[in-house]
Amino acid sequence: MGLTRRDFIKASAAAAAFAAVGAPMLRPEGAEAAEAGITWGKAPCRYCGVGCSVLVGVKDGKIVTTKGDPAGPVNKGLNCIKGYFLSKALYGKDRLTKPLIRKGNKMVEATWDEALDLIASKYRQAVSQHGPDSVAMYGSGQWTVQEGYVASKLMKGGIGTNNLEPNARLCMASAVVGFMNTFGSDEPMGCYDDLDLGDTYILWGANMAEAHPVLFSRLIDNKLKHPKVRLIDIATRKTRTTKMADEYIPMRPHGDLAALNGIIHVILRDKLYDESFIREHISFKRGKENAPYGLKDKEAFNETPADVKGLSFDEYKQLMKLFTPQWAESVSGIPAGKIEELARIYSDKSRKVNSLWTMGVNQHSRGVWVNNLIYNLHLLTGKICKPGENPLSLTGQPSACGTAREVGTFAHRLPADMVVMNEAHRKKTAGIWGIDPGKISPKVGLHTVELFRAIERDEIKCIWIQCTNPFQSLPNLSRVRKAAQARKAFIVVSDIYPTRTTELADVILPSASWVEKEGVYGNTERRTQQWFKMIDPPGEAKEDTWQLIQFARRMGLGHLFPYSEKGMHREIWEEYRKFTIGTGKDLAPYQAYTKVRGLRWPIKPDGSETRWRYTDLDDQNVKKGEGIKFYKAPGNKANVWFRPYEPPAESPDKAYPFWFSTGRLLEHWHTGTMTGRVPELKRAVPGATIELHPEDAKRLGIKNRDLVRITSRRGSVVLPAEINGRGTPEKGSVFAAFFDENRLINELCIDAFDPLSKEPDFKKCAVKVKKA
Amino acid sequence: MGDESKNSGISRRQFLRRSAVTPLALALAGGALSSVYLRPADAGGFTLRPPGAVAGKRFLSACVRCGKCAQACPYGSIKLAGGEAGTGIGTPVITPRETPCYLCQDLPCVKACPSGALDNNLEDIENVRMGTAVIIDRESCLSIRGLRCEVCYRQCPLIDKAITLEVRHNTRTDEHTIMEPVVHKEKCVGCGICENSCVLPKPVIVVQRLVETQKDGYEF
Amino acid sequence: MPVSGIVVTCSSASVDTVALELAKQDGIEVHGVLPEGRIVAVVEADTVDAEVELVSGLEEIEGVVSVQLAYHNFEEL
Repeated sequence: MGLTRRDFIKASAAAAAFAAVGAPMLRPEGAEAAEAGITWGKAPCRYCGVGCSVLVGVKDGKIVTTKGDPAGPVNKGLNCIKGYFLSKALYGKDRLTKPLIRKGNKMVEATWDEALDLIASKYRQAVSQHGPDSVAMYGSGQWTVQEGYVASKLMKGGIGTNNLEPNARLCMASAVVGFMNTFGSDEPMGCYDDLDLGDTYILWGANMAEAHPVLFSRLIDNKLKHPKVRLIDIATRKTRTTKMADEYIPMRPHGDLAALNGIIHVILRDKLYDESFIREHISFKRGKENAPYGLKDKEAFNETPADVKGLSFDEYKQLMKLFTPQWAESVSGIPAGKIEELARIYSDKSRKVNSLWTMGVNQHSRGVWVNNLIYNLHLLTGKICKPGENPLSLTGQPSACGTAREVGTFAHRLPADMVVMNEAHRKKTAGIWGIDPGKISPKVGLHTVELFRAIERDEIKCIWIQCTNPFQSLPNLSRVRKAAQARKAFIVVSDIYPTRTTELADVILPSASWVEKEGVYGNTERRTQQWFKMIDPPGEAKEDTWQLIQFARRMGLGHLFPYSEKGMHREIWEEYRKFTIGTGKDLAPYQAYTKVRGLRWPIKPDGSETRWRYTDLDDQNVKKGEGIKFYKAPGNKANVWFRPYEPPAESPDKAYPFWFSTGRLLEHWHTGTMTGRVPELKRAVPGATIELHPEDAKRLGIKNRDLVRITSRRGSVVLPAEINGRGTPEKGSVFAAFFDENRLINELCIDAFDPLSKEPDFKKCAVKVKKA
Repeated sequence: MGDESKNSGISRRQFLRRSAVTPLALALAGGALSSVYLRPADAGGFTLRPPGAVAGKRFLSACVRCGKCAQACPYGSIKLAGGEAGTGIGTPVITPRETPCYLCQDLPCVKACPSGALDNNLEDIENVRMGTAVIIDRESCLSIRGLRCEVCYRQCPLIDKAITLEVRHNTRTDEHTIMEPVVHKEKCVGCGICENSCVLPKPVIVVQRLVETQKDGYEF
Repeated sequence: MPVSGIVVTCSSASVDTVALELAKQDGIEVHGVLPEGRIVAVVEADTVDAEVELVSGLEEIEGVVSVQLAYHNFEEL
């Protein structure tokens, strides 16, 4: 050929530029030859909230390979095996390629125009007959920033309803409310560097080894390098995380609420707190108690400013006298001596203590309270906002932070921590969106569990689900599925594969996935990562942003999305970015992200990233000499909340004597729609199992691999038993992961939720177990 | 040949006369398939037999090729060898990459064997020694290269006994851990679940002939 | 050694002068001039920083309305 690799690349670069302006005819010489080689582009991994960076190798318009990006600071070229097989995730045989419209029991192929016209007519009809709150959208922490932003502007600024929810309601909502009511701003003050720099790590109900694989690898390396490092695994189930921890502290489900109060009690009793830190940086608060569990439809519970009482430090200490270590032991199962020891660890001035948590704490009917209590430990001891010493809320999804939380695709939110209930926030939002502020409804929309119940009550006429699988993942699943099957609501689903959700749709739209569209994701540590479109989606599939804008045009809302066809993603970003300037969550101009493997906000005036928030060490919103300053909290003081113990929604009893919990494992992502179509991952873990404690199994006459029937008050599932496998529940508990579309585990789960965050408790309900 | 017949308790002539055509036919039919999935050459010519199989040549004479163990196996893991097995034709073989042994605690295959080729004295499935798993390609193993894999370890029915993870510092990234699966031959039953679950196109952990213990005085 | 494909949008009056100006610069190859004042070029530099500087500098050229990045190869060549 006579062309070098460099020539190939240059020809390909030119070809891409020509394509970007829609001029395919003018192909420079050698472009065909360029296609013969592999060209590489950067992207964040499609899967978890760790946010590893990958390089995607494309040849002849197809992803042929991926590799961990050696230049990615998060992972330095490593991936877990989900990431390793990214090149296969998009190429399952049954990729959706055409719009489909339900006709009776069949889904019939249609054109985009037919599908979009139908959707628009249904939405228009619903809005005109029943008002804007009769329609809804359910999106995702796996949406790109652009997709979430357009959805938010469309629903809140266009249609005028706040019935927009992300699946992140089921994963990070408790963490969000915990951040907001403690610090006045969402997202961690620390970052992954804390995993390298600290020496004490306390995990609260987090199976990091399987849920945050590469991050766990990084944490363990700290341990290997520094003998002082200690990892304590406080959990209700022995996992692979337990295996590598220095200590395992078994805890009864829901016991975190008691244990944390016990630890705080000791810190106060023995004066292990940092008095000057408290004086400078803390306010004490007491909120609303005797909260419900969301089991009654439309049960309203809010903690308004009127419900909140300020406390003096003395009053707080007095209230905390209740929660003795002995009491904590009786509730949590953690011995009183261990509670005392944990208090000493948390206040140890010679140690840099970090707390890590995800779903064990968040998917909890008092999850916000548990988040608050964990922050209390760090705030009372002053162990926060220091390199190597922070509470770090780990995020589950790749862009629950970047999209759902930062863009604010929730029923009560607007971008950059703003809320619909606040007039000034609505005004600012309307200003940037170019609309009348009166268009944005001040009425909080329906949160996820209530949204799907509203479908049952025929109050939601239309719902559009994108990039998520609620008819496999919602709790009390049979109830939710039945409501959908009643065919009262008009259900639109945009996805890339047939799922347990598309099977209940009236219209199925084929979506572009990951690098089939340009996009931005934001991970756990506030790292925003951008990628370019690298391949075309298959068939007639289109990116969700396009779908939403085409729909908007048909709703007479096209003027809200005046973006050019080719520059759309950058233009959306630059508009969205305006919300963040000067808020302490500042984002950089789009171009900056195209060059690097992400940047952690807030972005400084010189364009560099911030690793630690609220400290003059790094956050430029804090002047030198000010030390630590919680500048987003009222009065610059973080809140230490008094949060008592309240029991779980449903506990084991005579009829249903076991605890049931669900979660993830390393090989499969969420509901398994992508990883289940990667042959190697399917081969590795073909189906879900039910984990039992060996003594329970023996008592019930259940051997490894025997089929077992698990029944709750809401549903029943049959699964093969797994005994002495990768996870061992405590006695009286069982566990099954939710990735298996043939075993709808979530039919067992209870739709009780945290009253403040509205996040369901997937970790606790009561079941009975017997050999099938 | 004569000696072998005495040991097996049933002469070859008797076998050929008495045995039903079916197992042989099954074996011949299966032969075409099993030759495609035959153990890779690097298995050193090793054949994975069902649990309790008596050793080596004794097995070939003890086994009456009745096929009952294959019929008893609830997972279809046991197949009957085809023509390529030579004198082993009709004997039971497990090909882990297709279907490993799932270690049924009630040992249906052993109980079904009429000739003692699968030792009826076997009571505890964990005492089985069908073979030893070996990582044959450390250069390709994702775990050893620093990625988070370790599927063989997590799927091993004797996790933390037959396979453990040894951790060490990843000197390339300087910030991560290498978690290397290590097989412990005295605990490994040779079921092949590890070989079956390996995510690479050619499994880098495979079940081979039993690795013998050798001890010296060092006790660390 | 990063390589990028860029689209430079100019006012239609200045497109030719801009194209000449681009072609003069080290590390920039002009691959085509399109109607409506758009130029397709390929940019090469030693480091990403050098590339960023080069591309930012282009926006300073008189007549240039915008510079759009269309492709970026991250392979170490």
